[in-house]
Amino acid sequence: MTMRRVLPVFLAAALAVSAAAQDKISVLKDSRLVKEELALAKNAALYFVLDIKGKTIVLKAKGVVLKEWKIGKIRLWGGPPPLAALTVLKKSSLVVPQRIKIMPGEAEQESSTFELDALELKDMPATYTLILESRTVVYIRPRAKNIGGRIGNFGHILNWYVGLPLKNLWLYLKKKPLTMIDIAFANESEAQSLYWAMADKIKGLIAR
Amino acid sequence: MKTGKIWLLAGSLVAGGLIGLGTIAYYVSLPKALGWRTAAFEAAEESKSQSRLDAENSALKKKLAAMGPRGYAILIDSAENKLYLMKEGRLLREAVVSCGSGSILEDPGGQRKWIFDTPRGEFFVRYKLKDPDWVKPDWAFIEEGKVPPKNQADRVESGTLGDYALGFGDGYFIHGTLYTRLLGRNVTHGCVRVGDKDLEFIYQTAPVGTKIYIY
Repeated sequence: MTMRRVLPVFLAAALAVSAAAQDKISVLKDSRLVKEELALAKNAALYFVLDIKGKTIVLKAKGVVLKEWKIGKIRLWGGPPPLAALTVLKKSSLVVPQRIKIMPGEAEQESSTFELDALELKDMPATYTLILESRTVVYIRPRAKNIGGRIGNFGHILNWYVGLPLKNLWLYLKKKPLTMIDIAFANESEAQSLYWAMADKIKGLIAR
Repeated sequence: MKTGKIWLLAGSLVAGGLIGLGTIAYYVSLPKALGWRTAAFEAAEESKSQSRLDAENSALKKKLAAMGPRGYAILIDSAENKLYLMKEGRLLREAVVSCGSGSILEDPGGQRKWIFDTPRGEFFVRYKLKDPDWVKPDWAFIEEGKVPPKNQADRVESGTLGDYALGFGDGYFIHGTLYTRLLGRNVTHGCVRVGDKDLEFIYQTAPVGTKIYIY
């Protein structure tokens, strides 16, 4: 009888303690992220915040939100990324957008057809990988809408669920585990505009 | 028959091995990924009380918010070729513009190279000009296949930049254009071209010192 009375009280107390601890962790993370963001916002460069829980990526400058992308689906592998500013070291894609080289004097020549020599949003890849510091890799792709896309996505899913865990096991044994984040956008243009926004050596934070 | 059994055994061993390996791989990767939200902090930080942490956070967030613009701000999306004139976070005007083409020009006679990107980051309106003249830089002549003149007066061109120009440093301007049909496309050498009516509104509204955010 006594046990029946004590047990709910004990469980309630345990849950309250656990919730308080979670709250504190959440506040600590928030605090760390704001501190890191303040450091980033001190200079004029753009930076990004990838919010895993909120499923968003935000491009900012001086704390001002310039652009936001909603993530359709997000998946994680490996250890947590550090709560610190990470630099995008490389953008890797199958087809790299090429800048057009202007030939001096060419513009002066008469031309019957007008062709725009420019690198535009439509030229950006929609499927690519962002390689960040601290062995953090972010896979970006749009959700498949046609057969070609579904086949491509099948390859990606196979890699995500088979190839990457095995790779991670190997790296774990070598004491160099990776942090992997897989992001799918609702459409191609969002993935392309994120590629555009991720300028060379841009820094960012991953909120988890 | 015997060979068949050996193949079956070998196949089972390989399959079992792969499943085992996969299980270990998941065992290594999954709990870590699940623990992303509860990863521990340094003892010094954890020892702080909740109320103290809340107060610290609030102060930090205020500090961050204070870094943003007060009054007017110009936001330029170089991918979408859009300009947004804002006041206290409220949209006053949206304009279709033209930003940098991203093309490359190399000086055939030297070591110089230009990349025609619109610079990204935070800037501010340094000065405003009415009926501006364009002082053509070296690249403008080289692009035309000409030799840059030594005389400064030979570089001045009127009418190219439209009725107004807002300079934001390093020779970059928000200015007008003769090629209005190309608004919305990435065609410039780094400047931001704006249509006549939008440019007039921006010129008259945004004072010198207005923050410009280009992304």
